[in-house]
Amino acid sequence: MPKKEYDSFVDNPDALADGEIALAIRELTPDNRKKKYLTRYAKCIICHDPKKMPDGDVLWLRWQRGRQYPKPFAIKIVEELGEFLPKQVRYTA
Amino acid sequence: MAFKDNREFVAALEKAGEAIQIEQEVDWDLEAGAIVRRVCETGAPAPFFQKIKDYPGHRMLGAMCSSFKRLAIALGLRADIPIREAADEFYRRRQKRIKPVIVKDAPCQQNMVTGKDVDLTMFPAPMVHDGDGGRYLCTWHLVITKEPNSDWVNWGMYRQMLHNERLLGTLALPNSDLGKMLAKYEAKEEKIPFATAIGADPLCAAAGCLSVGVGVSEVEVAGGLRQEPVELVKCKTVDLEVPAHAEIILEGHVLPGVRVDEGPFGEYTGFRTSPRYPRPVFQVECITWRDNPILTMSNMGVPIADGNIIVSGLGTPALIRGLLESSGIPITGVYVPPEGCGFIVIVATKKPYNNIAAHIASVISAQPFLQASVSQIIVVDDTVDPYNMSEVIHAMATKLHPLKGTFTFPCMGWPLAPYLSMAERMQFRGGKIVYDCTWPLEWDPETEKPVKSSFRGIYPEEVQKKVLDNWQKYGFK
Repeated sequence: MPKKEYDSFVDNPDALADGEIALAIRELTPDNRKKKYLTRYAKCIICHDPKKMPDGDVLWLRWQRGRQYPKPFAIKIVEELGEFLPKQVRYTA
Repeated sequence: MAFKDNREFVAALEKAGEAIQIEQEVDWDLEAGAIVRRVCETGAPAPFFQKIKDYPGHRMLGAMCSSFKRLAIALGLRADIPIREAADEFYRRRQKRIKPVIVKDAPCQQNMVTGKDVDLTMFPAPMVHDGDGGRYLCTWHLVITKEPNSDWVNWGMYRQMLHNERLLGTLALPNSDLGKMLAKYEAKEEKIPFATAIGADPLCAAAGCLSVGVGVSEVEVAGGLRQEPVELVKCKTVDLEVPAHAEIILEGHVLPGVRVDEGPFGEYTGFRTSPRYPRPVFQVECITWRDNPILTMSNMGVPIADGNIIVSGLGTPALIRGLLESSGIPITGVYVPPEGCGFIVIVATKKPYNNIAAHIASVISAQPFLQASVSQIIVVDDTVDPYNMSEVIHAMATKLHPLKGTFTFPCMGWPLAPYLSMAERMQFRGGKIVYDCTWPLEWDPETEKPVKSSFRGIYPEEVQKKVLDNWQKYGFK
């Protein structure tokens, strides 16, 4: 079964530590193509090296102005946090 | 007669060679956006997409006002009218207010879903640019809200991004009309009724782009531009009215104190400047739409796109002209070149007193929208045509003293201005530079003021006449 792919906008992909984090994620490979790019909030475990999390899905990261980080991370969604912005995910731009 | 809707308008554009129907299927995911962007950058006809991937029965129209020709057609003027003449007509109509009329039945309500059946992905919202924060359903539309405890209804074009099936994130700067209204409702923790009208007729859309002032309802300005009333219909679920001939209507409430991530988006300045950021949430509770709806798309980016033509090309010059004329300044023309993103203003004026450039700058800076959005003011004398960039550049090159003719001052900044630092954008800090490209009045005309060396300026009239009379005899065509 092909891995699912997600992306998320962050201040600095290089500064993200492996482990648990709350992210606003967009689904890039939904079963229904019309749902591509919709956003939800989730608690996730991420790893900068996909080989170290082989059962994880694919996470692409983008800087806040849309440029994509060249290498994918691995991601596992631990908990859905809903459709609105949890306070802990607020960015400082 | 004004165009009743975009269907009549696109037919007129096609007749004039300014729009083409595209029968080949295009993908809403970047392909349609890329086509519209290239249209904006090459001046190709407006694309009217007939088949959208995943969305049979839906159509999409892009770049419908991305040139002066198309806007002239929208105004019912001849397509090749000089910009100065179109600006004069736009200025005249912009002063007029025509109240709307309410109709009972409207095409925009031919179909309807409410409540749990609302699903914004039922429309082919384009992924406009690679790297945008989401699919933008609303890039050429009207967001309609009402001032609390007032009759003032505001129309504005505030981008709206699909967050999920029923929520839209929106950029509403706090100094905008919508931003100020939201602040008033949020202070009372009240939900804000809204309606979004997608694909209203071109002059309704144009009115929504303009800065017409607090308390002025854009629907009456649209009536003035159209020279006849806008037909409105009452919404199905909120106490607002919408253009009856629009294509798609979204109804719902803005949720107080709630934010979702919105953006980034390729903006009208040609850059993606504002980051993804927590912004207001529009919850859609009802959707109505016409049969075979036409979704409208403006692809903002490096100018020129639709907004550059309407806001910069005609709207802002009309606003500035009104302010300067009512201040008694003897201007002879105002132009805001669309390529300048609204940051650059050119004013031509007679010069009855020195330092009139400072007077002009102070009048422009006193208007809230212009104080933030304009950063460069070029003042030329009445011998220069402000619509002619060759003449303006020549005036800047030859009449602008680099030390005595320029001055700067701080003022409110524009958060989408690419030249500002992130901190300046967040704090609304900016400034203006004024270029005074006029001769000092005290210069003696014989000993100090240079003589213009041009065909009209330096040859005796009888020589000019002789040359003109013999022009074809010389062998010129």
